[in-house]
Order: sequence, then C-alpha cells, then structure tokens
Amino acid sequence: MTGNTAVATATADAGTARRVPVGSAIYNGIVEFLYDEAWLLDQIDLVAWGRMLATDLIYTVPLRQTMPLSQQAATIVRTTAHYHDDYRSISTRIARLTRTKSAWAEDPPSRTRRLVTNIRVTETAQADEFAVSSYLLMTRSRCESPDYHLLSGERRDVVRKTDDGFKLARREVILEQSVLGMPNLAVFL
Amino acid sequence: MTTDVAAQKSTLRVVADRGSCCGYGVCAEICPEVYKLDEAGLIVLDSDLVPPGLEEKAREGAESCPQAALRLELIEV
Amino acid sequence: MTDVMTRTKDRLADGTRIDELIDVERREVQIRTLSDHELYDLEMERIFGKAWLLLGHETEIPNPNDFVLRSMGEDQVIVARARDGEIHVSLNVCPHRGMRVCRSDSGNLPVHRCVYHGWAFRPDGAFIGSPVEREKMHGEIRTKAELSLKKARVTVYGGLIFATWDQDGPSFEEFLGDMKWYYDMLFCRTDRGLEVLGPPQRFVLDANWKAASEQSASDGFHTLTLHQWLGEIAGFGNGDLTTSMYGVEVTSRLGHSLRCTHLAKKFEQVAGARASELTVEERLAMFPPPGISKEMVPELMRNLKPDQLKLLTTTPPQVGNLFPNMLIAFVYVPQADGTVLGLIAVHAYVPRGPGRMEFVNWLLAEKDTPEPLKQAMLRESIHMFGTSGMIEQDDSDTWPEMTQVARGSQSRKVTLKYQAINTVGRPADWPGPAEAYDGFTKDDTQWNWWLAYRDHMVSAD
Repeated sequence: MTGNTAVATATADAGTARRVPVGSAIYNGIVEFLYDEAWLLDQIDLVAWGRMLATDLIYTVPLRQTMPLSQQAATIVRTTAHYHDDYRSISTRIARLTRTKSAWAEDPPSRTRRLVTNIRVTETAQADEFAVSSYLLMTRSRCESPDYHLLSGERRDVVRKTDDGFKLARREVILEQSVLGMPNLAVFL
Repeated sequence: MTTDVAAQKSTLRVVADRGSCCGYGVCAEICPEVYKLDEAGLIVLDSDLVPPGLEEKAREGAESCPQAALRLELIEV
Repeated sequence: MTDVMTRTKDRLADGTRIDELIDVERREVQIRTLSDHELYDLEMERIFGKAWLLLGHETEIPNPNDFVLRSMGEDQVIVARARDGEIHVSLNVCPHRGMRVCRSDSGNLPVHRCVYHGWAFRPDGAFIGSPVEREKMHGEIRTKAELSLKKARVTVYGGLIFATWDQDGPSFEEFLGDMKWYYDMLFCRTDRGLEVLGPPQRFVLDANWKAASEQSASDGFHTLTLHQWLGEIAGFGNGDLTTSMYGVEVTSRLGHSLRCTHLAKKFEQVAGARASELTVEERLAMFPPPGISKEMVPELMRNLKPDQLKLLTTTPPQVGNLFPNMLIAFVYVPQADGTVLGLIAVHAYVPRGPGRMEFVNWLLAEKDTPEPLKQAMLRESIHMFGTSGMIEQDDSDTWPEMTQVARGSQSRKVTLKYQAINTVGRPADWPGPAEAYDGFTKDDTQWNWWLAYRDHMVSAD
C-alpha cells in the first residue's frame, strides 16, 4: 500500500510475527511513547507532537461501511478516507492550527481526552520497527455543550526506534462508526 | 452463454439446499421445467441436470431465489 | 401529518404566516426557520417530498444488481441497478410490516429480502413473493404489483443520480432551468464523464440542513473571515483573499447558483504579457480545468460550445449549489511546488431532524484523468473538504452554532440579512444565460435560494 516495507498492520502480523511481551523494555518504551503522545495532543501541544512523527509518516483513517457478517473485510474502505496524509500534509495541518490566527474549527479549542488501552506490540521484518495495535477512546467536549462527542477505534501503528527516541512511522485508525458523530475531524487521532 | 456451454460439451447441474428453501416458489415460476415444488411448497428436482436450451432460465431462477438456496455448477459430460 | 393538512397549511401554530418568514421587501429571513419543528415537517413534504435530490453517482453501482443505500430527506432508499442496466430508487421500507428491507450500505444482490418475514424484492423494487407462496402469506387483497417498494422517479445527469417523489412534477431539465448551461460545463464536458473516487464520507452534525444549504448557494463573502487562514498560509491565498472575492455570480429564481472566478491573473503569471493573445485551446492546455489533463483538452473542444469554452478559460464556475441541498465544488488549489491542482467534490446536506443533518461528501475525478493525478486529487480533496478538510472543518463548526442560537425566544426573532445587493449587473459580453452579477461577491445568489425555498413552502397544490 505504501513504499514503507514495515507497514503490515499489527493484527495481520499477530499470527506469525514475534510478540513483544508486556513488561519488556521495548513494550514499556512504546507504552510511554503512546501515553506521551496522547498527553501532548490533549494539551494541544501540536508542535511537540509533530516532533514524534517520522518524516516518512503515512497517516490514514479509512471509512467504514455496514456490510453483512460474511463480508467484514469490505467494511473498511481505503479509497476515500477521513484522513489520508503524509508528514508534509500533517505539518500543514499543524501549521494551520498553530501558526494562523483563524483556525476556527479548533479556536476556541475542543477539550479532548485520549484514552489509549489494549496495547499489543509485535516485531516486524525491520529490527527497529514495531507493529503496535492499541484501542483509542477520544472524548471531545466543545463549547458549552454538556454532551461529549465520542470516537473509538483501533490504532494500527508502526513505531520506529531511533537515536532520537521512538517515532510514529505509520498510523491507520480503524473507526467503528460508518457515519461519524462529530462535526469534523479537526483533531488528530 | 448457451453456445459456450455447448461448445465446451459441458452442462449445468443444480445444487438445491432444501434446508434453506422457504417455498417462495420464484424458481418454479421462472423455470418450471427444472424447478418443482413438493406438497409443502418446497423445492424438488426431477433431475439435477439442466436440459440444453434452458440454461438462461435456470440461471435466472436460481439467481432470483430470495434464500440463495439454489446454485448452478458447470460439469463436464 | 396528512397530505390534506400539509397541502393547505399556510400558517404555523402560533399564527405566523409561512410566507412572511421570508421578508421579500427587506431581504430578511427569520432565524426561527433554522430550528422550527413544525416548519421542518412541512419541508419534508414540500421540499424533500417534491424536489430532485442528489443520491450519488452511477459509477458507485456500475454492475447489474449493484446497490447503495441513500436518503431522500429522512426516507432511506435503495439505489440499485437492475439487470437491464437501468437505475431504480425504491423506499427501503417493507410494505408488509415496515422493517428496513436492505441493511448493508452497499453490495450486489439480485434479490433484496426482508429478514423479518422474508418478503423479497428485485433491484427495481418489484415484489417477488413471500414464504410460503402456497400459503398466500401476502394475501389476495393486494396484487403483487401493489406490494412493491414505493418507487421514486429517477434521472441520471452527468453520471449523477437524482430522484424525486413527485411523479408528475417538472422534469430534471425544467428543474435546472437556464442554469443547466453552466452545469453542463462541469458535469458533461468529457467523453467518458466523471467517476467517484470511493464511497462518500459521512458525518452527522447538530445543525439544520438549511444552515449549510443556504451557504452552498454561492456565499463567497464568508471566505474572507471564516476561511481567513487561506490567506495566512503562504501559497493558498497569497496573503490577499479580498481579490478573490471578485468574480461573476450566476443564479436563478429556482435557487441554483455558481460562483465564477477570474483566471486572468493566473494566466498573466504563467504567460506574462502574451496572456491576452492566447487562444482558447492554448489556455485550456496551459491551465486545464480540475482533473483535465492536457491530452483530454480535445474532448472539451468537442463537448462544449464555443461560449462555454470561452467561459471555462476566462471565468470558470468554481463553487455553487443545486437547490435544495447540494453543494458543488470544482476548485483550483495552489500546491507547494507552484503548480495548481483541481479538485472536484459534491455534497448532499441531508436533514436528520430540525437540529441535525448528515454531511455526505463525494469526491470525483474524470474517468480518463491519469491515475497519479486522480490520486493526487483524492488526497488533496481529503485535506481540504469534508470530515478533516482544512477548509470545510470551519464551516461545519459554524452551522451548529447558528442552529443552537435559533432556539432562543429572542434570538429566533433576529433575522438573517441578505441586503448586500449587486449594483454592477451583468458583465459586458457575458455569454451565458440566467442572472449574472459582476464584481465583489454579494448576497443575490443566496437570496434567490431563499426565494426558491419560499416558493416551495407556499405552493399548495
């Protein structure tokens, strides 16, 4: 799907690839990476979040469709998508949100909370890259509405170990909703 | 389609799943030569081979089954 | 609500005359139109029960038995291609006990079978039968024809699928009126036409459908402030959005409109002093419309009239609408490398109650657009439009606020103003039909949208 050889999804690898055990140094490092990332996004420190991204990043959020049980693979749509970005376009999004005075969709900003759980790590063909599957629940509170916008999904990441710490090289977020329940995705998942 | 089948010296065989049949009778309505109904209104076949010339009707009858209880297989004769 | 009530009703329960919600003299609209439940129910009958509505594109269902589920107002419909290739639109409600017949967003099925009691229907909506035929579970009071799914009237225009419940109303051509000449320039300009780049993005927001739809009627003015960031990030607006506010707005009383923007500056940038001497063909090759490669230019020359070509190379339509709830975008987006990428999107703003709407976003390209260009268009469209689109995320954050405001007992009496009136009029030598307004973007197009809305809401038949 992309030029990156290590982008096989975490779940696709689960059967054959070696599991990185819970509690191991690598696992712990990746958990800390995901927690730090969620914290930075929730603090709206997007510039610092941007530094956690690899420059060959591919960042996608496919559409979902309701299909019969026998056709579950077809529920994930990867032609059109909610996000289909690379490092450059994510940087433009960050620039819009941080460097302009008029990104009104997030000014005043939503108050968000990203809860990251069910983290499973497997090795990939690249020694320095790890396939990481995690569950995401994002609550988004906007202006005075007491109702949360909720969004849940599975992140299928490739996290790369570098001299400068871990970097996010690939993220695909598999959402549950076929029709999203929030007015936009002006926030990162 | 019909000529293709003839040229290949093959024929169509009906595979009916009586367990799935709900007696809509659509198959028998479209192609009564192949699809019959028993006293309960469920599918029965006198022969599971589709006679030459009826391929298209048999195919339509199978495709129209709301229960997807009918399948056609190509077999060599 | 019965047909008799909705057809004759000309006042809301509090005595307000429906036609007075829109003050024709002063060009004002009461904000309560964005929140009123009673009005909403009438809209479902008088607009969404009557008008031609966008449901998708024929390339979503290329093969016999292909289908997609879509909505006409709050009514869900099955849009399916029958064995003979014809496209049918049928209400997704089982005439037996009201269960939804089809429950997948898309697929390929020769028979749609209700899971509740098994009543079965063909892609054209025709009732096949029910189990067990021998027991006549559908009775003999109604004929099989009477037990078919309720059918809408369908038309395919430029590949876009439209349907209406009004079997005897205006044809789609009559519905488009003289604006058709402009839409043809967008949807009917290549030999093989447009195709969707995938299923539509869908999301629901807490806004009235009209907040989005009246904006789609060529509100150019909001770009200056709501989309101010385009001017703040180098490359998009070159720091000055005001100049892009000038153009020509075309519109008609039927509520349709398009904003056409001048390309003169862009040609000067590319061709310098020679810009004014370029032929139509040279201009098309130098700066092809969205999704058109240089190789496809001869197709444009074949399919469009000279006047349409002239417009396409000087003042092409970029954004606009089709009444009641369709947005059209054929926009040029400057790229970081100095080139310009054309993007094509259409939206439907589907009502989901007085305070909710679904935003349905289709991204398109010409079928013959080279694959790498298609992929570039798709990605850039996702960056700019719809769910995460950097332009439209600001719009979709605005409409819920207007809708929320419209509930207040005092706020609802505030009026929306459409009093910026164009005084320049039709540009000299303008080749196209309909009303055309030159100069800075004004409110005439959106006002026509409200006049069309008013016409629909007061027409009792």
